[in-house]
Amino acid sequence: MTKVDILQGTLDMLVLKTLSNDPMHGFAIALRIRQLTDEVIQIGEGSLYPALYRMELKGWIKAEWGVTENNRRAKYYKLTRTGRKQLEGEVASYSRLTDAIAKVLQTA
Amino acid sequence: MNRLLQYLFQFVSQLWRRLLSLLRRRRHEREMEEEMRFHVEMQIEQNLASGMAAEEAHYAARRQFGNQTWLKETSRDMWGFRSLETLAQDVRYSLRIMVRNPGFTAVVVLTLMLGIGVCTAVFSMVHAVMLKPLPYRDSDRLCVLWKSVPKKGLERDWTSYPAFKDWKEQNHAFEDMALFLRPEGAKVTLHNGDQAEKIQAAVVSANFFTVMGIAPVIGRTFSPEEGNGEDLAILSYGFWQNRFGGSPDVLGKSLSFNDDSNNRTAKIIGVMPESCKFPDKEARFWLLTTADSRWERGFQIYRVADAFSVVGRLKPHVSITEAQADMNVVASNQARSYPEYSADLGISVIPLEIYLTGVNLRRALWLLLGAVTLVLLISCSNVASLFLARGFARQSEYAIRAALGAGRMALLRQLGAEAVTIFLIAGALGAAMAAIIIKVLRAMAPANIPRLEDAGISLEVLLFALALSVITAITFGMAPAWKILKYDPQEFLKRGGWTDAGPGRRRIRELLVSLECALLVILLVTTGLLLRSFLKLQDVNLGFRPDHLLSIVIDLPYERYGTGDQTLLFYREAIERIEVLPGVESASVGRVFIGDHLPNYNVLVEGDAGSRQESVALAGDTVSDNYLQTMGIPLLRGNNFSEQDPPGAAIINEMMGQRLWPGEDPIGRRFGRNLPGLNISLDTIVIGVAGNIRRNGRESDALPTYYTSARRQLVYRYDRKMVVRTTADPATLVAPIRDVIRSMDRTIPKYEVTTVEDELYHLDAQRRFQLQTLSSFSLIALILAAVGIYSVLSYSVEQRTREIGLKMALGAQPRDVVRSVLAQGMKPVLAGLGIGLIGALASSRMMKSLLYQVPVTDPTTFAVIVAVLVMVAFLAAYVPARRAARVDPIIALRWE
Repeated sequence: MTKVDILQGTLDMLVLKTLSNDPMHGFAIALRIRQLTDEVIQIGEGSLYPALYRMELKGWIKAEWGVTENNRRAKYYKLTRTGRKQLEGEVASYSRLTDAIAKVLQTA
Repeated sequence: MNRLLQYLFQFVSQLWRRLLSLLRRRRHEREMEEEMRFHVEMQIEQNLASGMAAEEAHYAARRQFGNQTWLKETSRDMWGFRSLETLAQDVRYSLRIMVRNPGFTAVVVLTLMLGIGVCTAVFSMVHAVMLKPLPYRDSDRLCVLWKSVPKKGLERDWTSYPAFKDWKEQNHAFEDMALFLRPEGAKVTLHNGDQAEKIQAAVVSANFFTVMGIAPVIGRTFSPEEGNGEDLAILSYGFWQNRFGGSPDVLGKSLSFNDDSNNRTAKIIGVMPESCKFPDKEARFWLLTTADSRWERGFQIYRVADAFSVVGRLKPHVSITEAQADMNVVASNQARSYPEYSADLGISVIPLEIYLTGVNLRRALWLLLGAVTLVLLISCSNVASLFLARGFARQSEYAIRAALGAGRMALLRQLGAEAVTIFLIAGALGAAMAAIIIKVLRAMAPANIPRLEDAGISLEVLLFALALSVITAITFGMAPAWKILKYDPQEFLKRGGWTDAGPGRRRIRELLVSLECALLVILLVTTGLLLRSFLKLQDVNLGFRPDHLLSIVIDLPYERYGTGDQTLLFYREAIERIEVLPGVESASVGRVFIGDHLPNYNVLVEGDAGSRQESVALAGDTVSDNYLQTMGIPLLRGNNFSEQDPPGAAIINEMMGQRLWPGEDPIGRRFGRNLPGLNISLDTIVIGVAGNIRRNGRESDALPTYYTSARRQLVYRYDRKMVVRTTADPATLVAPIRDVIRSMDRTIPKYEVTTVEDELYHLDAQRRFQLQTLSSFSLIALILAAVGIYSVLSYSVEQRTREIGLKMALGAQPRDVVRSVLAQGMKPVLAGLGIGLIGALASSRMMKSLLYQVPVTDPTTFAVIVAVLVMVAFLAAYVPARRAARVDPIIALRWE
């Protein structure tokens, strides 16, 4: 359960992927990622919210105020069509990158 | 390419979102707060759920959340709020500084307001007259074509329909050509109840509007196939508003008028927009050439019926020079095919824009713009030195800011914000002032400057003022910026300040003064030369006596004056009645001004060596016997008209005698002019030689002219002119003469009575307007420069108070101090003067065409200007010099 530092681009990709099914608010996104990675990747608020605002400006996600199960007001983020395309692109290049790195690591 | 578009689209949409978020700043902040709060609450809940105690839950959540302020800052940065806030801060600070130094602010704003204001006003004029595109489709493709007689230097003469057909069929450069009748021949009489009014119309070929490329406001224009005798009319916008109240049901209505031979009824098919002012801006409506009464009788048939001009649309990618070359070929073809008509004739191709404004007007306007730029530069120099002085005064402030960590960029940005703020305020006020100046200019301007009425504060003009303010702000307002970039704040704080009197700093200010003086000299010399030209013009000999002279123009209607006899009777009676009026010395039929257009005739001349034919630009006029006396033209040789004259008697002027009978005595010689439809013959005999008169005002030349007697026959009944010499003030005779004419026949549609001096005044109007504006600018520039010299010198004196006090304590007399300060003040002035004189010599050479009989290096003008400048500079420098002499050495030495 060591925390790992991740790059900004990778962070964006993870957030986009998390949003690919349902809209979520910021807390839920961070929670989901922690759960999925068994607490390896813990995204601090200092990284999460700036990233969300940045992606909103870029037009990859859209924000809407909604209501949680406990009737609280929260800002939900949703993936846009541009964002979905961006996600596909990022996933593809990330896979290419990891395959390439894996090839290097396999030798020697 | 697709990728590029995608990127572009993304960039633009991002920019758009940024902009939106900037506008919704407060909402974003609130939402961010709420989002953070929500996050913390959720974290607390989770902590509680995982078993922490309440207090610890809160604490842990907060701690995990991290530094909220930092987070908020980062987010704000993301949205780009920071730069906006800094900018707002800078501007607020600038405004506070401006308010705290009202004197400085007032002087700067006033000076700039003046400079930017006049610049904007003149630009608005130049834009409306020259730069704004004409309302026609691709107006740079339109040209006006004239017949020319290169041998006689005649560039613009009317041509005929048969010739035009050849031009149209034989050329390769033009898409299409259209015909328009010369404006003098396109006047019609409208009836308004029992009142008749002679107005200007336009007579054009059916394809005219297609060639011009302009759409009507309502209805339609002539279609090129039109012209089967149907009489159609298209109204001008003004006429539509005035006569028909602008109502759209004017289409299909009839327009009745008299075109000088026939009564006609034209069907109205359309209305043109207000901007359509071709071929004549006074034309109330456009008519078809084919419907004109003279079309079938003469215009359509005769190659010599020169009454038209042509407008053509160039094919795309054809240049003016190519078109001119092409038409030259057409002209030489014509000369070969019709030698008796078209030998020695050429075709001139002139772009429409140049035709409408004329080369002289364009030059004059550029001159005005140049002059006003000089004024702007002078005012900016003043402001720059003011900014420099203030920059120095605020050094302590800059030093402290630098010490507190403000980088160079921050200081520069602050300076930039200050400069731009104050310049923008001045610019806005300047634009407002320009609106007033434009009104004044339009009132002062002569009536024949095309499109001047469009000059106003339009979008382009406002953008110009804005751009001007910003550019001058950066160039001149950031003047102290160089200093900021160079110096070291530590040095300043250590030494505790220094004076602004060091030679380096002084040099910049003196440079500015020199610059101002140089520019001023150029401006003053330009104005001076033009003034001298104008004055020389006023003294020019016209060939007749213009004082106490009235000019009358009468158009007699066809119905009662169809024959020459009837016309003759009318004028005989008119002369009798007018001469009876008190204050009238004599009255005569005849013209005062021959007009701009040079006619071209074939003349058969009987000389010593027999008869020969000549092509001469000749003017002819039918006059009463007392014409020469009434006009005050001297009779040089031979006899005046009298009852004993042989038939065909004529008096020629000296120029015609020298031209057709060089070295011979023309008295008794015969000559004859070709007239349409008649054989040329030696039907005129010279009985006298009169002096030359200038044909169209002071700047024009004389023309070979001959006068025939009106005793036998007066042929042309329209546009007939009379002259009246008075003993009393001619203006008082205008109304009585109008009464005489009206009492003779109330149905005469047009009669105008004006004093000849008034007409001469109007002919000079453009020159006078130019002179008035330039003089105003020169005066403004002179005052600004004087203020500049004064302020720079008194600032310098103030800075050098210590030095002066020391000198006086060591024994210098007040007289010496005054002398030394004056010398210091006058040095840059004289240097600027020298440079300016060189510049003025160059610039006056460029405006040579605008001068009249004044040499480009006119010594009088230069001497006077130099004297005036030195005197004014001396006065401006004297005040601070005196102040310096009154310095009390003791106080000065103590002053820090």
